[in-house]
Amino acid sequence: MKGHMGKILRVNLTERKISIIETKKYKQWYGGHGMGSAIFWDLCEKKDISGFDPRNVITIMSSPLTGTLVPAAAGRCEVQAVGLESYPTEWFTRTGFGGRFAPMLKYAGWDGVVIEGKADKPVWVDIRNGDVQIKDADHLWGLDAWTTQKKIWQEVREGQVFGEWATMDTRRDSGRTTQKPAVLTIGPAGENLTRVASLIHDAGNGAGEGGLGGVWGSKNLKAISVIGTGSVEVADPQELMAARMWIRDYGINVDDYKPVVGNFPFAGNPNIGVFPEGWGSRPQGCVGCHRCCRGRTETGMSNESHCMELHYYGAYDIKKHGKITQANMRAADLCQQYGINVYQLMAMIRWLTILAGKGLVGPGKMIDTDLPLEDVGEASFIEEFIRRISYKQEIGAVLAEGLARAAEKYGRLEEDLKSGAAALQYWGHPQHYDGRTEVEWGYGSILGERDVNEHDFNWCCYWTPTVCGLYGVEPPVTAKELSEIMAEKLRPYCDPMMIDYSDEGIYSEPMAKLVAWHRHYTRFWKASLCLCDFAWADFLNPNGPNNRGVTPDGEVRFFKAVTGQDLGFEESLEIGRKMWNLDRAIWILQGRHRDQEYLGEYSYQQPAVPGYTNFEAPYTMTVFEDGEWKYKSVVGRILDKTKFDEWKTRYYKLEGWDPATGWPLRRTLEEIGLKHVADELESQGKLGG
Amino acid sequence: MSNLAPPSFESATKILREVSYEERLGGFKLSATAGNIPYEFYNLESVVGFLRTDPLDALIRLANRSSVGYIDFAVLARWVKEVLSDEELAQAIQRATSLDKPYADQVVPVKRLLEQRLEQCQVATAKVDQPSTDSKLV
Repeated sequence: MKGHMGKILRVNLTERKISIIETKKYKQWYGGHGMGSAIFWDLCEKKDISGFDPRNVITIMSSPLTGTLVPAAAGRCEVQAVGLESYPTEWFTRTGFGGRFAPMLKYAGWDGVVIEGKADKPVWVDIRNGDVQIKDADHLWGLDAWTTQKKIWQEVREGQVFGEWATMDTRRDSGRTTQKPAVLTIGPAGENLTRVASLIHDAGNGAGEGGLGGVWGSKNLKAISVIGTGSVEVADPQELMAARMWIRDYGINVDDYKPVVGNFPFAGNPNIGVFPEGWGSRPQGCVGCHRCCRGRTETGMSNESHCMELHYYGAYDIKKHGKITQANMRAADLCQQYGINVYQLMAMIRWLTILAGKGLVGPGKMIDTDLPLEDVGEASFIEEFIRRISYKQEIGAVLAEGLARAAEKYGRLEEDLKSGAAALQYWGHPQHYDGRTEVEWGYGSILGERDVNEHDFNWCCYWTPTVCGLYGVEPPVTAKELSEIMAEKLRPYCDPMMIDYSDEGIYSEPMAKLVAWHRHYTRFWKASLCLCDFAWADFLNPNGPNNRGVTPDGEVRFFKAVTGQDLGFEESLEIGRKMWNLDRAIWILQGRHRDQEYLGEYSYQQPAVPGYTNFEAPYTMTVFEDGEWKYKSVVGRILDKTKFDEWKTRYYKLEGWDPATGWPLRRTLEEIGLKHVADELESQGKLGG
Repeated sequence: MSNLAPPSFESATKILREVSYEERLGGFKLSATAGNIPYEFYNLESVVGFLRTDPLDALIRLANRSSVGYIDFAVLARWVKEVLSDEELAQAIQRATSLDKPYADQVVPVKRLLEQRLEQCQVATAKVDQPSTDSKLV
């Protein structure tokens, strides 16, 4: 199969040993997540270890599409290991980031990096094409993520000017580059072994969920730098170019711009123009991406930050100053520099301010701290807050464990999960979108190990109709039309009822199909082929014929052009199912059981927060009621525990798992080529049935 | 826009006060990528600051960076009436939002009402805070 470079770098930090895994050994897993899970399965002998355990294995993987012309696919990187963030179990988990690290890895000749063991002192890994060295990082330890990268850039390209040609090796045609190394690093939050630390690459590519920055810190691994001068061989360059030209019409057309309300993946706007605050910005994107969802700002602040980093502190800033100020931008930059997960920061600040409102936070109080909560919204507060957590100082020593463990330490967890003050809906991860209303998000997260953070159905079934309603604009398609589009695209099920988010629909068999489809699609296409969540899947596209996006035809066309393999879409979902089952097997060996798979208690108890608020924001979704499709507000809904339990049984049966335990059956694993996994589960008494 | 009668010092003090945890008001910052982020409000001033929507063209153009500051206006009116004891402002909010208009079109009128009341309260309390000429004479 084309697209792979043929070898995976294996780094044993304990022995300071470099070796090679041949990629073809794992070719049945295609790339990214699939390969990462399979390698973890093979190399991490004991699966129920702590994330801090030196036996933990980290995989950093690219995909066959990485570094090619496939749009919104060339720049993503998949990272896996036993994580630190999830509660109560440190699940084997995944995270990802964009930018140029993964393509640079391939240009250097590697499909991925596997990290094992623990260095006896801080180190960094220096990859220059095929030359790999483990180097001392005493001079880097203690530096923030940005300074670390600058130091490495200078060290690798010592005496050279960025942007000018540098010779990396002796190959005639591909031994030179104008690029600086791509560096993936941790900041102080990772070095100091917090559970909320991110991996950072360039200015604003953060891999936050899972707390893998702390895993790196525990291994004394400060950074991996790579610079490569090769290229990726694709099967059919002419077809790849033709496909790229074909799909161009589905993206934004600056010459014939259609302003459409809503958020659309492939057709989404790049980060352009001037902010309402008057700050200019120009688009910036990962390698090969047309979407360019990040920006470079004229102030130089918040460069490349584009998602939660730009929003987690914004409303506090607005509350304090009446508008977005540089405090918000500073907050974005700080999380990148310290290497810390903003979702946890957001949930912690909210939790503290709620408890402060109850009179429980302050010097000498239940949560004894001199943290100046009256300054929330100021840049000075967020800087102090992040610093204390990153260096485990004062209250930061407790919060560094993540909100769930911090709330537990203060004896608050049970009460605050019931009330929603600690809005941790899945495995101690902060609520992102609400699992009571947009259930595929919540169900997928609790059946997995983290906030799924995959917007496939979110933007078309929730955000677009909701925001259209808020602004009094007609959605681009009716709910009925959307159900018809979905019925065409959600192969092999092709069931329009899969997007019925009504009070009945969320417990139905079609909803089980939707969650299964989503898990299998994203495992293969997003986590393993590394298609970006901000562009794929493309169901609803205002630039497409009859508002149809490119999914599923686009995925398979690009896959074939790069790899030469004629993969059917349904077949790809089966491979995704295989990956999903392998992950589940690992979680089961870590202790997973059906009885654990419940959303945060407030999801079943709190239709409204006591006081003067609806519990949730406006939530208009597709529902099928009284024989017709409509967009309807489902705000304020709580889940029925019994019905959710019944739904889980439907889902487990659909997946071929034992309804009593949630463990896969032998025949399920064998039919997808996982007999060895079934054998291992059986040997440990954890096989379904 | 309604012309609100200037409040007394006592009313203004009550309207400007920090409310208790049980009396707090909730809202959400909505964005396409980051999810719906809940926020709690403990005084009128922070509500005024928070309440905003990006213009429609900015919502479209800025995509990831755009956001909506959302507070349910019916809940807001109830909070103003029951917690801040400002019946007049509550009624004005109800009037401003009673028409069948989308949320985004209601934000500016409501925000103006809140700003007007906030300014009135600040004036009312500032006058009393400063020593009067009469007291100097005494």
